[in-house]
Amino acid sequence: MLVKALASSSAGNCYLISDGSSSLLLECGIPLKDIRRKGVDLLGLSGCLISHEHKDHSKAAGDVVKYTHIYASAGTLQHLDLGPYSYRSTAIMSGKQFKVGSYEVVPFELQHDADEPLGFLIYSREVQKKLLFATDTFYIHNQFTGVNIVIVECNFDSALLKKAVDDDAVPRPYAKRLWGSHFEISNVKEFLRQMDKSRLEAVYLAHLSDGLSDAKRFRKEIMEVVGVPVYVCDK
Amino acid sequence: MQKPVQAQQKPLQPQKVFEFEKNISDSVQNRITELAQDRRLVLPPNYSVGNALASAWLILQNVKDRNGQPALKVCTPQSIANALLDMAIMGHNPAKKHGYFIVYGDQLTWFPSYFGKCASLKRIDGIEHEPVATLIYDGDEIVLEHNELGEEIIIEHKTSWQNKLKGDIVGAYATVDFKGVKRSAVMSMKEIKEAWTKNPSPANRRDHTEFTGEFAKRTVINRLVKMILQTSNDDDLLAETIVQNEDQHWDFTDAQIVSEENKAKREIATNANAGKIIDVTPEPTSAPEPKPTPEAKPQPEPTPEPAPAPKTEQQTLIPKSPWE
Repeated sequence: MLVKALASSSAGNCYLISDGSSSLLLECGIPLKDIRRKGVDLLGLSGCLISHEHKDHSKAAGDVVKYTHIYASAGTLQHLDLGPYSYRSTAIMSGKQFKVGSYEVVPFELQHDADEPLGFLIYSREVQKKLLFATDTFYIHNQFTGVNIVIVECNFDSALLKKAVDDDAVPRPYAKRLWGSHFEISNVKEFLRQMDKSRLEAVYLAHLSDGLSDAKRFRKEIMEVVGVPVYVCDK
Repeated sequence: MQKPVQAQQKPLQPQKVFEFEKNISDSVQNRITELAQDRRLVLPPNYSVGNALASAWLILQNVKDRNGQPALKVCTPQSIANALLDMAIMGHNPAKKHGYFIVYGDQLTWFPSYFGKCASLKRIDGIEHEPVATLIYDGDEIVLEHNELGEEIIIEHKTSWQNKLKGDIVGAYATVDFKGVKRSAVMSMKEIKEAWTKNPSPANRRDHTEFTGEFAKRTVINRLVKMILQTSNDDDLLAETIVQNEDQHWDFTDAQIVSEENKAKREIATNANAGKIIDVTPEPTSAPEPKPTPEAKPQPEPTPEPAPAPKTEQQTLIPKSPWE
């Protein structure tokens, strides 16, 4: 299964996955022209899954919907402006499995300050692999088994956040919000530690925060927990 | 995790909106009357609570939260009543831009503007007129001393038109007569700019660079006002409301961040990785793929591969990460 991060930061998030039979866009938080520039064949997509309505995840929804079907929770959809193309969107629900191309997708609840945010467990019938996608959440309630690939947010480190607050590099209201809305590395580690890793092949760390994260160290620390290759998604 | 409340609340019918408004307005007005009777609150003689509430309701119809939901639908009735009460206690009028209604989650708050603060200050016992701020330009002659309370005060200030023309602001000071003492706040430009870095919304900083002088005056007046209000007598309800209101909006202390951190940690300890196992049923029985409508562009099945994925790489299931 091919995983490609087109963008992964608070400025914009967009990932492409493909199993050789069909491809999916996960999030569309960068302008359409950037998605195109990264070489995505928009008409060839089977669909686009959006986790929540914040602009760094849904900016291009109004343009992407012209090329492919959009899947998001009802809460998310009501904040997206799809104009006359809204008929090409489907409201999905946590726990309700649905089909897109050669994939089976099960959405699950995330913990973020958005309207009904969702994560996705994506199974490819073509290559029989499971991919877990969870970003913008401060913990994950559900458990998963036999996952092959994990794309998970690893936003910040508590020590770096504390230092940034002391140096006034980060406004206090922002620091206050982070704890209840984004994944801190020790919590990510705990999540991965408890997860069934029998079939795990790779972990992708997404949505690293500018200045509050250290890509090299995060990669090393997560690798120590999972024992499989860990990649940090490009900004 | 705070869930948005609008999901459970149905939009109010016009008749109900009217009743809702009347109930809240009445309770706010009654409370104000009670406070006035207890002599805990002295409203300015020309301030009409009714008028302020009426214009607040008109403005509230258009207040939206950051998701674009109407405030009256999202916010709890208690918070609406409290915001209106805060406004009335401070003697503010939303029509005069004495402040703004801001929605935080399901809480409506009243956020006094600079004008609102100056207006409230005039009502504090012992203050005759609004504070006056003056800019200090490079080249001005200044005599800085201390007043009887030990506050820095500028007793002599000689400026010239030439200095103003050059326009290099090096500081500002504000003064006000409070209970017969000349109170003052003096700030250098460095201190003023330092204060501006605390602005939580960087987008607002543009105004500070475009209208540096006016904003420097506001900053120094704010400093002075804060000093007088926060040291005022405890039974001064007006001052208390202004101070509390200020804290609620701006003063996120380290303790609050830590408490938020602990709250998140508690929630993680009880809820994280504790839910039911989510798995995929290879052939689902329900929820079939949504049928594309006829107008939809035909989606080729199987879809062609996106350009950047060469054939050889797809066969190895976990390819080398493209950004490594």
